Amino acid sequence: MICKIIFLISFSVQAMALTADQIIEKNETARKYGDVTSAAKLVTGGGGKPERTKEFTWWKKLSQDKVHFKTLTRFHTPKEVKNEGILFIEASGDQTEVLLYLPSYKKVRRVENSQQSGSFMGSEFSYADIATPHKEDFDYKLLREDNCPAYAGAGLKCYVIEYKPNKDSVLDRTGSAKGVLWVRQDNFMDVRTEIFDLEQKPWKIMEAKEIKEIDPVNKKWLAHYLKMENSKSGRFTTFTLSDVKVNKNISDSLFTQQNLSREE
Amino acid sequence: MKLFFLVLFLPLFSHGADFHLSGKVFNDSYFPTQNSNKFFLQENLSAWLEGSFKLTDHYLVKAIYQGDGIDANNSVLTSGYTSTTWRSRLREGYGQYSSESLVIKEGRQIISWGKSDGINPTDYFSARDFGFVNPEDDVRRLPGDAFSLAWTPEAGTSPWTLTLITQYSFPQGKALIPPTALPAGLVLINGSDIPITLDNTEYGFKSMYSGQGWDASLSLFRGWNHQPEFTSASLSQIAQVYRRVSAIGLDGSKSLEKWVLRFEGAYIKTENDDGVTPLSIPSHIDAVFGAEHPMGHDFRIQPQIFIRYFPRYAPLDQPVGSDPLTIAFNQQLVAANALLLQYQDRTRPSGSLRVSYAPEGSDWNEEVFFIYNFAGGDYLIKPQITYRPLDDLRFILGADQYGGDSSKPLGSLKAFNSVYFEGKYFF
Repeated sequence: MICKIIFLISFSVQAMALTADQIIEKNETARKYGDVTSAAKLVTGGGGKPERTKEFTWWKKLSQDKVHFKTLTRFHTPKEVKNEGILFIEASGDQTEVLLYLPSYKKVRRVENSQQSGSFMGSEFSYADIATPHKEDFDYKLLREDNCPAYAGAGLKCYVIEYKPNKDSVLDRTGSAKGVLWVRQDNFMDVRTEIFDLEQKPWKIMEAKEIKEIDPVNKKWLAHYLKMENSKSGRFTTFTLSDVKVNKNISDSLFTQQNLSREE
Repeated sequence: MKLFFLVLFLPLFSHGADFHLSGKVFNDSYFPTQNSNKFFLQENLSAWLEGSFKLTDHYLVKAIYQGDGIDANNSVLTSGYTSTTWRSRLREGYGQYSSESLVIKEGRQIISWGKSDGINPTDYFSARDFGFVNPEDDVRRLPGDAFSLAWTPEAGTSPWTLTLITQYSFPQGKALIPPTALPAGLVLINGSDIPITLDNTEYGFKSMYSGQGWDASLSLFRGWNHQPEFTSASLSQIAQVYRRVSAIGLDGSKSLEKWVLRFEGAYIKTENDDGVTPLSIPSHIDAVFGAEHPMGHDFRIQPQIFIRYFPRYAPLDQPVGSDPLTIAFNQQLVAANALLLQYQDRTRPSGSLRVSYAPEGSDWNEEVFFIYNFAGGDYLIKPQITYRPLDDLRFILGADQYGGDSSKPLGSLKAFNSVYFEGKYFF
């Protein structure tokens, strides 16, 4: 019993000793899987408007730099956007590249960086929300330790961390002056993100649920359900993953302009 | 070519197929805002049916069949029909083989090249039916019968992509001919068909490089100008003919913080390369410089400058012919061709601006497109409102308002000023 108490105390001291940057590094490591292929669904509703559903296939792969991801999204519904594709090639700072394929025009169009703070396919997620945030783009401050929100699981403890963009280009890209991140202490996955607008007023809240260990060997985790609520518009979007396949060594050729414009 | 197609697609019959059917039904009503003796400028009900067979991971067969009901009895623009008609045609129908590094397509297809907004000097292979008005440019695009091969080295991961096209039956574009453009007292007859031969086949090559945050392409083309010219068939008849062209072009785009910059240009060598006759469009350089920039969250602007320059150019009032009657006849042809093919001046600068407003989460979005010819002072203003009450249902209300001198390309289209409404259902 004494040993257990000593262990718990030492674990707690060790946990307390982590800095905000170290926690974020562990957070980034926990969600840095090799590649994922999944069916995905976006449902947007609220604000007195009818629900809109978009379904797509989603491929995500860690780049050769082992830091940034490449993501390809190919839409199936609604029919108006069938076969539309979006390719994200993440890079540091303001270098993230977004390319859009419009099948009716048979053209790939480049989307400018600040557009990434805009809505992702009419949802409450922005392009920047969908892309993976990176430690180098923000300054972090550990606010406190707290109980995780109830939906994350009973008795779970979280680090509560404030982040702020550390350059104007990231501020433009995200459209947000700061955010507060709730990171689970047991697996370092974020379960809640409070996003503030450029005037530092509450803007959106993202909840991550169904966090599953998709690669037990390397201890990699993925949230299968995200909900983004916009406190200004009263609208929400859920982002659900299903049929998730991990580390299938998908080819880099999937994340090219050539493939983006390929008919399926 | 057909044998190659069969050999290419033989293996697919041994596998299970994945079949998808989709399409859209839409109605366009264009109401003239100028004096007209017809109720509609154009009234059409159209249906597109798209079938896609994915036979294996590598083989795909796709077809789009298009039907248009055109109310020619009550419309000014009738696509050549004299009474209300239902026409149907295969819009696209091709087989595709794809692997990591290769995409091969054979059959009827629309090949769309170019990076700029609406004005594409390197868009050599497709054509448009400008006589069939529609809010969406892609609806007016016409397909050709072609073989295309795109190869990306290093198992599809190289930044280079090389594309080779042979189009053995090119799409013949149709002009929106203003009533004042046709020489008075002359009858317009159809030109002769261009047979499918090796010599008449179009060839194109493009080499594209995708860098981080930018891309650029070099393209080469030998084929035809898909927009026809008028030529004399007799002293009482004129016909539309297609002329040979060859071209070299460049295009590219670059992200620059809040901007996306686009460039597209081509040198187009025509049959009238030395420019000695004003009867036919001389060789020319087309260049487009464009940008895209957001203004806040909801607004977006796309300014663009377009320049056409003729290095060798004959004055349009230069007499062509040996006798007064022929000279007078040819002067009318010169005027019509220079108007429709836009070579009224040696240097023709123009600009366009697209401003769109799309609030996040809204079912409504608005857009205004404006194009202005600096050389002639003529213009087009095109405001448009789109409403999506359901995921698969869309309505558009808009207007085409041409203005300026009636002897200039856009000003001459004032007879087609209209307000339009479109309802479209996707299934």
